[in-house]
Amino acid sequence: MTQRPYLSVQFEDSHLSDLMLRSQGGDQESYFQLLNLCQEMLLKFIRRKLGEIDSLDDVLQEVVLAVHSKRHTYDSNRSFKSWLFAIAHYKVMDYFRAYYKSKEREVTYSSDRSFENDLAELGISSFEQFEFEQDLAEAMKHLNDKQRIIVDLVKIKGHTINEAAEIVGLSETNVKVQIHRAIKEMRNSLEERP
Amino acid sequence: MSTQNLIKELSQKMQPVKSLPSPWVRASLWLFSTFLCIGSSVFLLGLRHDINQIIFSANFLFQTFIIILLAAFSVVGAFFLSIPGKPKTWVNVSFLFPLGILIFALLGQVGWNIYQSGSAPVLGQGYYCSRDVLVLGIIPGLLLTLMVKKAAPINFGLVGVLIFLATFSLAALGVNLICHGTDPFHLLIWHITPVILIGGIGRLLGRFFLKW
Repeated sequence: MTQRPYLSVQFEDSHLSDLMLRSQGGDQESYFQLLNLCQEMLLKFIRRKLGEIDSLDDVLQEVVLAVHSKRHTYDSNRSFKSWLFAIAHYKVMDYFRAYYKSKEREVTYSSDRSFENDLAELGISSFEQFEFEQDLAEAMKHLNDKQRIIVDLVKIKGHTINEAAEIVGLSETNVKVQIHRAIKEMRNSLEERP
Repeated sequence: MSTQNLIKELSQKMQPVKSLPSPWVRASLWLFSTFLCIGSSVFLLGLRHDINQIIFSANFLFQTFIIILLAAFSVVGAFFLSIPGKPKTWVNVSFLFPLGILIFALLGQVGWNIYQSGSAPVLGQGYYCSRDVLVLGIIPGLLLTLMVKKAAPINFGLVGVLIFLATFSLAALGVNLICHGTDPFHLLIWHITPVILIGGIGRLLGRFFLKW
């Protein structure tokens, strides 16, 4: 029977906390060991949130750097994993925000480039689809970050409410409320257009 | 660079760090330095002429106590929320309790005055009090922002509100010691309302100045 790695002693909170305390004191060996263990846990965490994406390693490195720069905030009276995953969650959300901002910029039509190139780059084959994508992007601009991420996850990428709730760290009810408000907001913004 | 190389490099370059003191200690430090800062500004600007009488008034003492409570709850909440993974506890919303009492008490007094006098309260010119609240809060606000940023705030909106509420409520307390106005309507509109409005602005600004 294969042993699940996260149940082994080295991934226990007390062990990780002990390594962190020694790292805060300047023990480089403990720190190396700690970051390696964190890397394994973080990779699983980020993969669960983002799926298999090209920039998985970039996000992982961002989280590792954040853990490094904020290691003085760890309090030994508290759970190490809860501290670690709170930082990881923050960085993943940061990635989401940056990702959706860049998507918005991509869809905005630039007049100094050829129209066909833009359509091809966006993977859009017809003018109608281009218009639809542009309308959608425009309507989504009226949403706040949280709503935009949730709408994309549930309505565009096809995640379930439960999955989206886990990714954004909200309750299922809250996700449903956010979707409802987002759709209302998008409908209003599309209706207001000439 | 691969993640493995990054970890190797970070481990080799790593220096010992001193972990942050507890939120209670940091909150006490900030409160102490803010009392010093606002206190000395109040003495420089000049205490109100009726300070000897007002300092023994139950109403004034009650307001002072509630404002200090609001600042203390807000600053403790801000420091607790700036530690990643801290579970949500009563400290996060505790500031609503003194804030509610303060608004309720002032509104009650305004209502009572209207009932007794039978006339609507006069708004008057108290914008300089609001201006003083803003000015007195700048240095403690900057200090608190730096102290919170030294940790790792994640809920920017709420932390922004708490920073602004803590800072400017103590600034309003300082203005209470300068301004000789005793009309509850004046205190509500020109001393306390700016604190609440600035707190709301803190929610919007939090994500810009607390990002790390």
